[in-house]
Amino acid sequence: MTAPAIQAALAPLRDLPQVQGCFVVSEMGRLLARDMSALFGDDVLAEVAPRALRLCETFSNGHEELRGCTLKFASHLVLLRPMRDGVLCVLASSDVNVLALRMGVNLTVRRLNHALDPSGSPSAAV
Amino acid sequence: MSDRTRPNPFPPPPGSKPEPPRTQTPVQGSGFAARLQDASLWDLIQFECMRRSRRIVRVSSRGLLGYVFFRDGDVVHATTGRQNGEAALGEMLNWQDGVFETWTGTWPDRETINTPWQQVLLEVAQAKDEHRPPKLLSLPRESKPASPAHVVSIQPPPLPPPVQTVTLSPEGRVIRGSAGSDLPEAAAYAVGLADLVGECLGLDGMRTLEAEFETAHYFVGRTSEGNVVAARASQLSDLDAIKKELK
Repeated sequence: MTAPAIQAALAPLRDLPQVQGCFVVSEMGRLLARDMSALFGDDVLAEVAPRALRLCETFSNGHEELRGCTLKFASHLVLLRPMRDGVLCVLASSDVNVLALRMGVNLTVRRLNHALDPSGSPSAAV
Repeated sequence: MSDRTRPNPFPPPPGSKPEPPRTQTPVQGSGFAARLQDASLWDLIQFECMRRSRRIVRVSSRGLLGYVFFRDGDVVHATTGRQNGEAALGEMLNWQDGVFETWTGTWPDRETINTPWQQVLLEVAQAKDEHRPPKLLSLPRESKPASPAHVVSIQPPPLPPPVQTVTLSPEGRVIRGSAGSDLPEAAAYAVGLADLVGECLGLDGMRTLEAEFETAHYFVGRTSEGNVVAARASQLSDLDAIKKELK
């Protein structure tokens, strides 16, 4: 796993209009990587991280994997997408194109899973 | 909460000539295809049968779902999460309140009701008057029909399992719904966590939360009164009615 590879996987999500940023939470609830505005300090995201992880665990029944969890607020939404060894959290305005966001998240998770692969493929090790 | 009127599909016993149910949104050329107001399920059945329409009507009541299939002036099939055939129709007629609307689903391969609709309604009404269960042909879901002479080669159509719902007060007290399951606890916990996530990120209180699994999904929302409404359903089930309540 390399931080630059994770960082590189996160950056394209911000190409989507209305996406404010995203960050990755480890399976232990630790902030692994971030691509968010400086308005959100590391300390803030470190507080969010374990809660986001617990939210994903709340409805799990042990038989099925959570596909995704969407929290809607007045003007924003937070999308939580479980991935290998953690959770991807995305913050977007509520008028985001949800279909495009889902696609973007799918691609990001794919890249992240690749980057987090302990076997370390050549592309992930760059 | 919206100002949508929740019709009572129950009240009057059959007999009087039904009036055409009123709709919120008339659909040109199709009679109606919207939520009905001020009409009972009894009325609807008589009306549809007299119109000899071919139509599926979805009935939802307090987290329960059922479907009634009309064809050529009769009810030819009915199904709920628990029963099929006449018993399912009887079950729906006994629901205390709810909403019904036309439904664009698939027609069942095999229909389950041969008895004239008048007879079924009469039996349900009489049973209610006499405080006894109606004598209706019940076909367990996913089973062969009990009487091939009465109902031929019946295979119930797939139906999403019922939606489980619960309403919690802001303090976490169960106001309505699935006490005894883990849904209230999960919903209360999730709302608390979601509020904290929002607070950290500088967002107002959570409005809705949706969690999707391969075969199930959860919906949690907050009403304008601050109550929490939570639902658990299969992916196939429709939670639109619950979502609309929160708009």
